[in-house]
Amino acid sequence: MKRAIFFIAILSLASCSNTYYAYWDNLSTAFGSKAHAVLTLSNVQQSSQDLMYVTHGERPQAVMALMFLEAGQHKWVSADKAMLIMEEGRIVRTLGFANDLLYVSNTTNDPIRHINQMSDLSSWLRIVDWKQNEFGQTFHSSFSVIPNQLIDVFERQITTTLVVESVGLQSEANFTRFDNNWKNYFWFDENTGILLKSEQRLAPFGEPISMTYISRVARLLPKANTANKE
Amino acid sequence: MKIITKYFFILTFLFFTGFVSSSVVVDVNGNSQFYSYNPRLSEVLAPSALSTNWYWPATSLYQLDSAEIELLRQEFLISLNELKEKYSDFETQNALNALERQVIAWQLAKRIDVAIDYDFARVREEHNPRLDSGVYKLQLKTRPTFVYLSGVISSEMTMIHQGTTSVHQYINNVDFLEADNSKVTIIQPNGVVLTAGLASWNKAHIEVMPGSQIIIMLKPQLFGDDFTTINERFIELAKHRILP
Amino acid sequence: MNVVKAPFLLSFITLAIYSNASQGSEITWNLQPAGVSQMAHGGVGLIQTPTARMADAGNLSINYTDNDEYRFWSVSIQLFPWMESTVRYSDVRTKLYSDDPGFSGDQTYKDKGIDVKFRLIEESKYLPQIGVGFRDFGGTGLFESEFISLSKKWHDFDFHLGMGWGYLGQSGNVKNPFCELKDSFCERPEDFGGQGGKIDYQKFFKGSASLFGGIEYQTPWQPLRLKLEYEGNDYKNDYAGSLEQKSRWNMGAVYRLGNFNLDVNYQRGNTFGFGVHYETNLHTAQTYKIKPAPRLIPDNHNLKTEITDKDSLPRALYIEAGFALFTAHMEEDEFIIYGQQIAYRDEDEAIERIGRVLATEVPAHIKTYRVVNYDSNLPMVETVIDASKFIAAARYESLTSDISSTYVRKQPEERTVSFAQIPNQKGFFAGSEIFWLQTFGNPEAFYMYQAGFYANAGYRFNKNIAITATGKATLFENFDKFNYKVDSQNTPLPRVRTYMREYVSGNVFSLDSLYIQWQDEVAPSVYAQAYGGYLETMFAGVGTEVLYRPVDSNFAIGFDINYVQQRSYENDWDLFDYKTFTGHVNVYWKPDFLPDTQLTFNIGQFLAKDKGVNIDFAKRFDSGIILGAYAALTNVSAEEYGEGSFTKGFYLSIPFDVFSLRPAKGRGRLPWVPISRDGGQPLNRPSALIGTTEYRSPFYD
Repeated sequence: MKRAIFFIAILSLASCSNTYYAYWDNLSTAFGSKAHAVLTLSNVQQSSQDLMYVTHGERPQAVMALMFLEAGQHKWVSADKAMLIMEEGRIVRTLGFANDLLYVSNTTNDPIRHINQMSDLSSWLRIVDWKQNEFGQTFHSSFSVIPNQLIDVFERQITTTLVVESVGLQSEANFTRFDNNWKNYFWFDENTGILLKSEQRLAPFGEPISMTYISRVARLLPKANTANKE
Repeated sequence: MKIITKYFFILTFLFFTGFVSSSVVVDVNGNSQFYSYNPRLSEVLAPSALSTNWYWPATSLYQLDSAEIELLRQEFLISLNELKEKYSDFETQNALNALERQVIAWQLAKRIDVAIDYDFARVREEHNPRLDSGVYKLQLKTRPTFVYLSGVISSEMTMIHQGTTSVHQYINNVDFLEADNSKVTIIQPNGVVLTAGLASWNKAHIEVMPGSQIIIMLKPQLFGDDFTTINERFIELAKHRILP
Repeated sequence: MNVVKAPFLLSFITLAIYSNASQGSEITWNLQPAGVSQMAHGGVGLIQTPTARMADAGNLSINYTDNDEYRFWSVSIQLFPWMESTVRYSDVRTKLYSDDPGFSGDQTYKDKGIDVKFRLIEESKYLPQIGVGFRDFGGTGLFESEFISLSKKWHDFDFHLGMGWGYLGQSGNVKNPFCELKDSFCERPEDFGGQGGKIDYQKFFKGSASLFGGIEYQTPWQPLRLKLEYEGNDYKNDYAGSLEQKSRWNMGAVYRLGNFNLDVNYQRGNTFGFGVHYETNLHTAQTYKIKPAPRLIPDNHNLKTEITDKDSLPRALYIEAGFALFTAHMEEDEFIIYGQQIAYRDEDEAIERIGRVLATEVPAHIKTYRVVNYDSNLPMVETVIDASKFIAAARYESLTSDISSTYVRKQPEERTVSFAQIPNQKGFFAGSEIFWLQTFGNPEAFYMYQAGFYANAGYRFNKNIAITATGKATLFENFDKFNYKVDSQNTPLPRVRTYMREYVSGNVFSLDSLYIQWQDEVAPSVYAQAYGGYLETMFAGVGTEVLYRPVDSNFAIGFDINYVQQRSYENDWDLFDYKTFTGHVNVYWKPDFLPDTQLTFNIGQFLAKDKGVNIDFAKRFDSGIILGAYAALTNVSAEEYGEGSFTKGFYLSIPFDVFSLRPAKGRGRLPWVPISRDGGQPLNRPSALIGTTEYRSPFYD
């Protein structure tokens, strides 16, 4: 059984021209298109899985999908198989990041779980572990509620209640630091109380992670006119 | 261990009767799971993974039907006795005896070097290997509350884990024998091994993962590397310890 | 198994995370101390004085410091954990480049220097770290000195004590201990050996000596460190003139900002200085890569009995594995592919990707995959993959899966190669390449450059023979500032390279080379080539080369022999009268005792008919970046050679992959040749077989 099968023409300078291609490609990837992932309302409404937009620091906007909803946790996954594990909108674990969040204690007492009972007196104390060899940092949060905040999703405005969480890292660092305090934001739909968007920094040294629950938004909105489908 | 012996027997029986070509028995926190094929890690984890909020870095998998580590222990004890004959001074004898006592008492099994996380196992292929036929012990833990001190100290100690605490603060009041007081080794429950400086010239802030072992080593010699070798072997054995 | 199906729209979230995680950016709450920093002259130290400390292995620091009379540009590389090397250009602000304004205008004096420092003893409980170093040991050095330094840390304080000879020991604040032992050490010889550029061993540790030292303090604010030093130079005999020194104590502060260290200092009790230092690490330098996910091999991975879609295999190999397929062949239970890897420079990754494609595209009854990698149309290596073992490992069927144990690399078998029916081996080809020529420290301008591109075109007659022409086009340059073309030194040597300026200036377009070349593997592991024509910018002629290089061997040996005639720089086609034989025995060796190092010896006759050896030392860092140094030692004396005494140079070879966002092969080479003249100069052959056969036992990639 002998047969020559196929062939692609390759110049003897293939590797060289490939280098040029890579060079050009590099420039266009680095400076040109910061390819934000963008979906239309009908894309989202037709998806069988829940989706969310995630922006991590300066990186382009990504889409993550809800892979598992189990044991009170939402488990989201990205195309590069990184994961965010959330409880009621709070990131409690990450997988596949440069310094993964391993553990957050006392999550059942997180005031974010009970938005309607939230007051200026609400507070939350927990300890946190990190993969890069830091264990048992103490975080303390207090909260404030700001009603009637508009957010833009799918070129529509939605009225939300904004919860601002003021977080303080109470554990001393080995060197003097001035960035112990920061803020996280949670936007809840004013009518249903569903969390639609949040921006969380897992630690003062972490980049903010901004999440928009586009599937939840899509369910609040009327079915998109499929004729407009792109 | 009794339960395991029983399964080992069943397994051997099945092999010999040609009843199964492959089979896996896993003791998961005291409950045995039997497979007549080679399951993937996520399958073994599935029944218990969601029952509570496990601390995945402290999860460990041991292979029980392997004599490898027991052999290592015997080799260690033999070379330790050689050292005891070679170095007869009281301090060294004392230190070597401490190591010997500890190693004899340890519960050891072949620790499988694999990162275990139920979520990652289901998403990333490389974190979801199949188990080869054999008898295993899988330890799932919630966030451990202790750290374990061993090595060249008068007796092993279990200490409460303290948050954001650097390793040298754990051993401030520990009674060192003829030990290296310029560095310690930390074996994290996920198998990662770190070395931390303790002395004025090399001290660094290194925190201890809950459930870690902190190992105090023999003072290095000015000439020769007998103690360096025995230190390395001690650490190698400690990696295969089954901790509560 | 619970098969997870990712939806069609997912995108990357952790992308580029690792390129951001450079030394400077924080990903933890607790921080490591900011670490060592560079001194004014470059290299780890305090302000003017060195310490025994070393940077992390692979550290590269690019430094600029301003010290009033002196400005220093330097690059310091931690080549091994125990060896630091620094090269430096010094700008003396109080002196002119030459007395002749017509020659060098108002440019100030420039000097170059090389330093090296070795760690003798690492710090331990009682012992300090001990280092010995040689500053500016190249002969004409303005700052020539030797030193021994001790460093001992106590919590956040690092204490340093050293003794210096030469520039560092000018003040003579202590008796030279060697002078006590032997009288010849009491006086330091004034002159330098040969024509400069040589190591003046006879001066080492001679003349006046001084103690120096200081303290570096890591403040509680991590980025900030403070320095205090006592120096041993009195600045009375400085090249910049006799400088006033109000105090022997200097002080400074260093602030870390990301990959930069910024420092300010107050020297001699009357002078402010500052510096900017950029750091990167050659071991860890990399860019996060965008690449297709390795193909998964599903449980019932392959039910195929034959290849149905003939286009999908080459496409998948190209896109997912960077493998350009020339042809393929199927035997009873073997499948052979022939082609060239063009994207993945890591061999294990390349083979894994190829294997994953084959496992899903090729019928299930195939037991063996054979991958024959070509370069220059010659088969280089055959990788034999055990299909079932590979698939099991790639599917993580065991707790101890190891993909790299499922294949072997070997000399391509005659039988395997005989099946290859590679079509279209003749025809025209063309390509182009950008060039950037630069030289430092010229009288006309400190920095001179020329940039443009080489365009080449040719015709391949068959797999072995091709004719190639290369034209050079200059796009921009400042070589038009040249105020001389040929140096005025009297040299008894034929001018084989010192007409350099004539060749590179003048025409926008020129013919760089035009030659016919034959290459083949003449016996197993023996490669040969022959070539003739205009071989390089300066020489035309004929030559041949043979190289024996077994697969994955640490050793290769061969020879080349050429008869060449010098080309005219006046036009593209004419030749000068000078003719010579030149050729070498070439030995390439990767010794076991020096990790990631290649030594090259070229022994024979060079272009100026001088005989000797060129020794090249190349060190590969984990990122693939290679740092090399070479020296040609021939029977030409330093006097005959002229300035610099002998040919030597340095180069940095950087894989394109370090910067690119997608996997890529190819390299850029940055040479640094302090002074180059006519002795010890080899012919630049159109191609060297060691390069053509690189894939057989990779050092570069």
